[in-house]
Amino acid sequence: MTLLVPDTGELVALKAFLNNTAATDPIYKLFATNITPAETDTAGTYTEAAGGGYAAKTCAGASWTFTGGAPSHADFAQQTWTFTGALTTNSTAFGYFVVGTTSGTLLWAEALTSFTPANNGDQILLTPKITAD
Amino acid sequence: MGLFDRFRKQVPPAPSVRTVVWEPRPLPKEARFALKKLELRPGMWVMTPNGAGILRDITAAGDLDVMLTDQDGVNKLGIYTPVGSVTQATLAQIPSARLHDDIDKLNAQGYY
Repeated sequence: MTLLVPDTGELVALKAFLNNTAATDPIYKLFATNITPAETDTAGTYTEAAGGGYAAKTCAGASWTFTGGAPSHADFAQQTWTFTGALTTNSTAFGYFVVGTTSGTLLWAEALTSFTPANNGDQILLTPKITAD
Repeated sequence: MGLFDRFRKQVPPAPSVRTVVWEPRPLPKEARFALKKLELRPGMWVMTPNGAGILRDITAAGDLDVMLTDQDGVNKLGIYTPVGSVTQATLAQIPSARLHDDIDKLNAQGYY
């Protein structure tokens, strides 16, 4: 599945672009339900992973790098989730969703290869990237 | 094996640590344009002959990549289906667990 910016995220982008509402740092979260992102989704659609040493990661705006081109893209340093064991509640991570720091509004989401942390030291590595074209 | 090896504590091997690398992938421009020409959108809820699902992509051959969902909106089966076989889903066809309550916004996206 490819990265999807739902309707809520599109509005946030437009408002920031037109200086209507300031953007906030995006927070990357892993979701633990086997769903495909849809344009009608909200942050509440996703069940965030829990347990096993999991924590969401904030990707501060000042630390993104921006490159114009075809396509233009924004990149952030690779993020590593290192687990201490199994997730609780739902055992498998199916992708990530990104929300705004203050609003909690869903910005974008992506389903990826599912992964079931089991052992201390199991890792998910994700290099945040978003393009515009 | 030596005499004292019999009494040596057997330490089980440490479980191997696994790492998965996730790489975000944008929908290629060609696919976005192809879907736009068909008045379709990635992430759109569609109705197929096999049930409701979420449009994910379009193949080079022009078939639609759709993830069918169950009544809870959870992934059920990924299929490829001809373009002419899908329509935009109605509100009644979308699993309620995947719907928010802002009907005006849903209507604005063509969901009735």
